Amino acid sequence: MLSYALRRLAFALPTLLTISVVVFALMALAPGDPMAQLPLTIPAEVRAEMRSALGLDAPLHQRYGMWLWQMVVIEPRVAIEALLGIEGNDATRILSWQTRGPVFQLIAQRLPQTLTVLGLAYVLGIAIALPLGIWSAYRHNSAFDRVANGIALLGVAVPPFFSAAILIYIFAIRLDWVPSIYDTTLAVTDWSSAWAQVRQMALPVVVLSLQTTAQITRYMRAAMLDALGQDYIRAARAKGLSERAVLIGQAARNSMIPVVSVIALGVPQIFAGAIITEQVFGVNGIGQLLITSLQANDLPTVQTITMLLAVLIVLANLVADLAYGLLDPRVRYE
Amino acid sequence: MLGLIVITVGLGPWVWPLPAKLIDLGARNAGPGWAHPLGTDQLGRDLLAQLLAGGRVSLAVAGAAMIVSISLGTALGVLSGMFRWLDGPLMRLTDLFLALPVLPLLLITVALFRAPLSAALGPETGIFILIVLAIGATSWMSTARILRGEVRALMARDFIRAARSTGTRNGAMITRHVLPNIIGALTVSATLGVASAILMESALSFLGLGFPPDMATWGRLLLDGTAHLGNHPGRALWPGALITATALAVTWLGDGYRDQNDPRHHAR
Amino acid sequence: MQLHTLAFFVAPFITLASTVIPAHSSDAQQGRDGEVRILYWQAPSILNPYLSGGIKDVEAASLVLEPLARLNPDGVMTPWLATEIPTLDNGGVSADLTRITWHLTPGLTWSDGSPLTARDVQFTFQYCTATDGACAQKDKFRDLISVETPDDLTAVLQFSAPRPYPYGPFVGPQTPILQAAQFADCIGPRAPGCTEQNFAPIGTGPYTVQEFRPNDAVRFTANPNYRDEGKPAFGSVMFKGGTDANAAGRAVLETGEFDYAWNLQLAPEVLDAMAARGKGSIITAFSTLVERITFNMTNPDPALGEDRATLGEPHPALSDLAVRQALAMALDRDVMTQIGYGPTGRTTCNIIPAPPIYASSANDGCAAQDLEGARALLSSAGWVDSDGDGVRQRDGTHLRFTFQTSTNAVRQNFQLLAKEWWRQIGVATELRNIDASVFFGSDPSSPDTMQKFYADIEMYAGASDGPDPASYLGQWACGRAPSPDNAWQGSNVARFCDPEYDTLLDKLTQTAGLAERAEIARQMNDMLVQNYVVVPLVDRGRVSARSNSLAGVQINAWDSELWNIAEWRRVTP
Repeated sequence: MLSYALRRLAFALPTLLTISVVVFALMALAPGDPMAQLPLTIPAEVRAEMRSALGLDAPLHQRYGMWLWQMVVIEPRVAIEALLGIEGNDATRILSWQTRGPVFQLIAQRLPQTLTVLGLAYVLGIAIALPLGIWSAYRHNSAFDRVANGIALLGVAVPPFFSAAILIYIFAIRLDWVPSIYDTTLAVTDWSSAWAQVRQMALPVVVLSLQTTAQITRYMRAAMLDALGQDYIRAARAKGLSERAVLIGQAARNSMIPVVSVIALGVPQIFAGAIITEQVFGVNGIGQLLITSLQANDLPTVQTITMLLAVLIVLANLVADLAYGLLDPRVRYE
Repeated sequence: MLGLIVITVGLGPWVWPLPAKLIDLGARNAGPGWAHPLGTDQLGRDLLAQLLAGGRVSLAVAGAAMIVSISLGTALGVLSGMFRWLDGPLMRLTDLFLALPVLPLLLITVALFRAPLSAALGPETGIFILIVLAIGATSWMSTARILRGEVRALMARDFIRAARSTGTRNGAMITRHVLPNIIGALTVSATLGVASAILMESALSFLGLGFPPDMATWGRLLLDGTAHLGNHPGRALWPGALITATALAVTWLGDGYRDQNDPRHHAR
Repeated sequence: MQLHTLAFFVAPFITLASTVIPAHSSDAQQGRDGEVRILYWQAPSILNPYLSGGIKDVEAASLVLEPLARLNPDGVMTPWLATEIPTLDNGGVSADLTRITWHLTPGLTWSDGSPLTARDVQFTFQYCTATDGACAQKDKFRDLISVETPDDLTAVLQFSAPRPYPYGPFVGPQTPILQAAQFADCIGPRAPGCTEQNFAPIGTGPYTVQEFRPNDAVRFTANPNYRDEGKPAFGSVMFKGGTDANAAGRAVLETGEFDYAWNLQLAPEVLDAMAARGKGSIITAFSTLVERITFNMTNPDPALGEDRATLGEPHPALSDLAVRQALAMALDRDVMTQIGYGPTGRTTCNIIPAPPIYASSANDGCAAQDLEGARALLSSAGWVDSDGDGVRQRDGTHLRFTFQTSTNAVRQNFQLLAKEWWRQIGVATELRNIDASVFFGSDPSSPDTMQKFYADIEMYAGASDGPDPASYLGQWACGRAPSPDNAWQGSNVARFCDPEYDTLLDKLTQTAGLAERAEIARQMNDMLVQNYVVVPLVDRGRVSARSNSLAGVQINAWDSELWNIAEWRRVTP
């Protein structure tokens, strides 16, 4: 198993390298100018000078090599030094073109918002989805199953920006129950600020967890239906185990295996997939950083975030595979 | 319901004869009425006509993107399921694509290449092709994986062995024996592909990276309409409801088909 | 003369203030009104205007960094850190127009308590003009060769050539004074790496940076060393960025979550519906931002190869004045303004609509649509539809044009309207819209930039940088036409070339008196407009929203919108 994990990791490196080359080439070769957002009153000569200060004059392979070196060597070193409290030396970190600040500093600032809102939505979604899926499989074709299935279908089919716009209109504007814009600087220090945090998180969490719930319910229900048809369930029933024990102890436990891997694989997607929700609610997290950087042609930021997402996806895949092996002893690694 | 939507949208000009791009400055921002059943926008363009025209584009994008992704997925899935020596490399390629962050990459591709493509092929065709290819090229992986599994299981069956022993060629094997037997899984993948392509197109439009503002699609109409939720709610609700209804109907269709064809789901 | 006017305006305020303050002396504490919440839907990326130039960044920085003089909402220069505006009359500007002397107000300090000196002014000049510094405002310092500091409060700016309008550097929010002590190690190539300084510059303004989250939010707190006793009334500023114009408008006008929202470019009926909720009001200000249609005077035909869209190849149809005039006459600019901008736009016939002294009145009445007249004009110039395909022609040249602009909902609406009206006079139009980052980018290899203009007609908005129009009018100089020789970087996108215009431009750069300058500028404006080189459509205002409980706001289109935030205060509506 260890050697399997190592082999997977060894394969992950060329994958990541390929992805980084593809993304870099895509961004570098495409038209679009990081200076396009400046007012027209700034003359062309000044723009040209600003562009060359960003390093846009250097040949492509040199820029890529520089970025890779910073990403793999300098940034981890800076992080370790910061952890150990060593005074930073003058290494050039990956700097955003738009803010001129280190990209990793930006990401570190955005991560808490993304994690609290998206993480909560994901956990909430799972917590609702699992029992929903189990029960609607158990009561297959009952009214409960139909309603739950309908809701799950709806959750998959409603575009998040549509549900978000309607929820904002009803709850923030008409009823005035919650704020329409997320305050990222709010620090939770006492009960009233905690309540403010809950209120401002309510709508984005609802929109996001509706999607998660929908997807995972569908998987859980399918896996559960599968498990309930197996022989060992009949055997367990024949042995006289209570329905509860059969349902939770046997069927649910076995059907969790594929669902766990779905959950693991979904983790990176919540970072990438929440771009729209973050944009609509002003939750300025990683997704919003990505889209604004993309609009401003801020190549280093886009490149770095995409790369981190790819790393996360590869890791999640690995975790999903290993979890499979741990939960299901029948799985053998070749 | 799906049939109804598709037929109405397909027959658009016969159902409602007003051209979608007709500007009527005398009837700007009109509410629903006899002349304009769903009202008009800021240039006096008829919303119903725009929804029908937009639906044609949205459905065409979804259909074309689905065909691209299904073709890619089938090709890779069948090949790697049938030929052991291709399995490794092709599945690594699939893993590679699965490891790509899809939405960001889609955003990057569309943001970066819309200008040159629309310059080369005209704004509408160029962006149509770009969006279709981009969605298709980033959504074939699950089809490939599912089909690979199906094909592998198939290869172990007796009738395939028999066919192989009588010297059936690979090409004939695929068309005669493999494809007919995986058509069920293919259909399910295809319906789910249409649903996700519709949603993806509207998401791109929403982020301002879809079709240009003068070309109505459901996503574009919804984006323009959200600002008017307060004063003309219909402008956002209609396209939103149509996107939802179509995605819902297509997904439901796929689910139903799977339940019918998958013997395991009959159990309990 | 300006100073007299100013004194005249200031005097009543002083009397008012002296009667009010004793009654509320206990209230006149700095920070008495708590927090003010400002929403910019484009979030600031950096707080150093010398490294960005983006409006959102410049305006956010204006809470902290201040220039020697600002422009007030009427476009009139007002001393800010300086004691007065140097002019020829008061001896601040030398007779040969190459030297200007600024006097700092005595006793000013930075927010860290250290004194503001002329040395800081000198340093700021060195900072922006250092080689490899990539300073976004370098053009403002053009021809400035030295800044001398005879004493702590005097800065003498020496130009290499006469400057009849020497108020480029240190006037307005783009070129504020940086603290020499803070930025000493950030000169030249080191400038972008000074993250700490660029994210939290020390300034003289009413606020200091407490926390800056790039592209997200800024928290400012009142500057304890601010020069005016009891100001600012708000102790802290929450400066949020993100979401979109629609959400920003709602947050002020409908839910009241924010006190001020910037740049609400929304459909007029959407804005009206929001304002009808009664929680806030929409405020507008106008300067010189004009949405215009520009004709290509040269031939963009790809068959011409290297010579495509260069001065040697006149346009087969658009070089005819009658065609350009007819196209302009067919437009109903009032309807366009109403649809695209509502109360936040004004129909204009001038490329320089403000300040009043520069605005010509010779073109009034241009806005009326005259389809019949346009048809007659084309027919009399020999453009007739002889083959009955609905498109006029002359000598084998059809009136078929490509009309391009950036991708933007309002612009696409305008395109559709123009296409429809032009169809009615027998002109066929093909519409193109190009992503803004490409259209306004200056990549010489892209065929789709505004400057390259590989189309017949294009539409965009442009503005003069400050009230003096000299450099703005200089954009149409013959020598500034984009061509392969200058890597397509010229500003004269119309490729308008008229020796008479260039002569006037030379005259303008040598004339000092305001009235004479205005006279020349109006003449040049009329040349551009009456030759139909450009068709001004809409004078676009800045539009923002403020909550009804916020008083003291004076929206300013000439300077930062937040220029007088020290005067903002809370009232009960």
